[in-house]
Amino acid sequence: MIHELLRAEDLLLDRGGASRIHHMDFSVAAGESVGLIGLSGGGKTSLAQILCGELEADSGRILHGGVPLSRERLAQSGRRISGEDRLLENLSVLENLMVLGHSPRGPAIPRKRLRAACRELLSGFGLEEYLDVPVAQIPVPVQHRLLLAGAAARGKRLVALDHIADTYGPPELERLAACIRRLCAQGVSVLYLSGYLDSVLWQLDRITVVRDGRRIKELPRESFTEFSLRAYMYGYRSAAEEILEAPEACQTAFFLDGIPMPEAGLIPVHDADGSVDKFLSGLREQSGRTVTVLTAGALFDSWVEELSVLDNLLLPVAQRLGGPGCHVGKAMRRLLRTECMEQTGLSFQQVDQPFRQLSHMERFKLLRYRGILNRTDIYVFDHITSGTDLQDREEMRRISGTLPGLLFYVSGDYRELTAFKRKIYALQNGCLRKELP
Amino acid sequence: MKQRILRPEHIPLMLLAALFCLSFFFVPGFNQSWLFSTVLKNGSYHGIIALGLLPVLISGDVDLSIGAQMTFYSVLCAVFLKNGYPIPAAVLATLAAAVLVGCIEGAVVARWHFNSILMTIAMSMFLIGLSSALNRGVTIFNLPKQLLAWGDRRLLGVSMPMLFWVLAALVIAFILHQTYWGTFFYAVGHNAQAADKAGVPLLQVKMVAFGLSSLFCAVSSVIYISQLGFAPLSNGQDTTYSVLTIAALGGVSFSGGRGKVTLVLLGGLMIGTLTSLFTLAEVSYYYQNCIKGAILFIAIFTNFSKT
Repeated sequence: MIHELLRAEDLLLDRGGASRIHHMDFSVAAGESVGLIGLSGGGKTSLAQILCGELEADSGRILHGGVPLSRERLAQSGRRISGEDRLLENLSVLENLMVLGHSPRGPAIPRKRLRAACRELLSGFGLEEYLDVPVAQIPVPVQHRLLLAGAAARGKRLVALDHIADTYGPPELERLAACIRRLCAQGVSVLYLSGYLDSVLWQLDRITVVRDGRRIKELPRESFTEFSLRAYMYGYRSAAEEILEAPEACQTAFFLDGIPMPEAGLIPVHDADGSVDKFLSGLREQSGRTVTVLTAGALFDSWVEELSVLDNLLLPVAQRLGGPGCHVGKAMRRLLRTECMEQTGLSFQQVDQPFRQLSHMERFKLLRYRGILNRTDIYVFDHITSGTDLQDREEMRRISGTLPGLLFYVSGDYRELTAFKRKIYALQNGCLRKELP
Repeated sequence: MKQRILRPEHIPLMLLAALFCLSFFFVPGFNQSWLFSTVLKNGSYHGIIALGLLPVLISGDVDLSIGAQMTFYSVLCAVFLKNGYPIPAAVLATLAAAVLVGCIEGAVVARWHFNSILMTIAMSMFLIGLSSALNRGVTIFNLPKQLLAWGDRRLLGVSMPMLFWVLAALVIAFILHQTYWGTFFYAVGHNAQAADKAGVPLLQVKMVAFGLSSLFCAVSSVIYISQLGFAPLSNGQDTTYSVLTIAALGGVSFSGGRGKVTLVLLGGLMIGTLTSLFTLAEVSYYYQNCIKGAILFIAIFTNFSKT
């Protein structure tokens, strides 16, 4: 059983401005790594400061084994490492650690033994190559690791990493995660504070999301995804998640009135905030189904213009339909031709013409048909109507209403979406903001 | 749409046809019947390679290692034979090695988006080195008699190289026009990005294209040594240049997407004719290359003026 290190009950802090915590409960076990994420001003740093004895809460208490701890006791057992921490720049890494690790109240240790112990500790944190390098010459992530080693040398029980990894690259994040694992293995509890969803979070035992000084959600390692985390951080659930996680909701939302065409309109609040891309990657990540995104650009850049229409349609299905000898037989071609003519309304001659002779509308119909050939489960029409006239828009909407599968129609034009008479969601930051009337 | 009979890319071929006719009447000895079979035999080695190169060129790449590959496969096959392998085993092993080399080239070009020119130059340097290591820098003579006997065989009065040339043309024509790989080659050559979006497996396409090119190279090498009776030592540059000239004469677009089997076949025929003609008219070897270079220039020029 994991031994509980700290339990904070009903913490309250109100200093005005950003440092604000509302009746928060929080606990951390010995040797546990906890991510503390949230937007700026959410109360992450304040919580860490209280737990490490840097700040005193206005009310509430912090218990260890049922015994309340004073601020001094917390300061002895906890250490918050932030970007503002400074080392002795002119001394070497080893010398710095000897200073950092020296506990003024502890028993005196012979210098030689201390050196040996520090050496061993540094190699555990991947710092052996920097032993005799002055701190001024080592990169910031390495300095942070040295601070971690220092906290371990001091015998701290709780280490809070306060936004230190914001400027790290992937390899540095990886190394930091390794150090965190090492600390936890020694029984030290680690709080990892971050405003970003970086890769370290995925290696922690648990994540706590805080917002506006309140604890919003506890998520164990198995159950968090980028989208759920982001949704809790920003305070609304991801549209993709909402649609895919609740199949019944999906049914009522998209399979209304026995109409075979399920559809939903999506309207990005700001066109340029990348919500659509985020939404789509969420959709792909979470559904595991084939998602075909059709943009206005796809009308032109996803076809081989010099090949005939039929050849273009053959490209995606050739390997599936082709018989022995890599041969697409006459019968198969005839079948494809007939179906293509039925589905797109092209004439017999047009199917054999090079693709470049086709109009905007015909391309759209073929794009839709290729989606069917590819056995797409979810279609996303992403601003497909941009650059077309009103009549074409009307037609495109009508055609897209005849697709088998789930359809999302993304458009910045609200009037265009209302014609669907289905649910319309506003998207912001990849998340469902509001269901529009 | 009006079909134009005289297209710019046909001009080099027509020029050579005219040359052929003129020589027929004016160069003494050119109208002898034995000469034709020599012409055909002469052109067949490079003709086969040019046909094999067609899928690579159509899919928008260039394989400059064909010369080195030809040398390598000749040496490899000769080494197998010298070590006492039976002929079918030696030939099959050579062909397998060829497919492997081609697939490696194609995979590297497709996987890491390497420039095919640089990749194949690297490959040709490697192969030249490997062939010199295999034959220790000397020509391998005295290949088995059965191989020569096989090479001298005739089928319906057609010699082996010629027969394989026609066979190669048929095989490539079948692949290009009857299988979906042909469509894939043209699609990738025209617009690789669009083909990728349409679901064409780029990696497999390039591997098949380069694999075919190498395989045909190996076939040509085996026929070559079966005619000569020894594995010559060269760095294969001449082969590369001749083959690319044939392709250019055949109206193949070097930026991909365009190329016809019949025209490449004719191109090979024309280069074979020209070489025989030069020998007959006793044109110096140095000037031969000058003239070939000029022809390649004209061919490329007309190709470019079209696009």
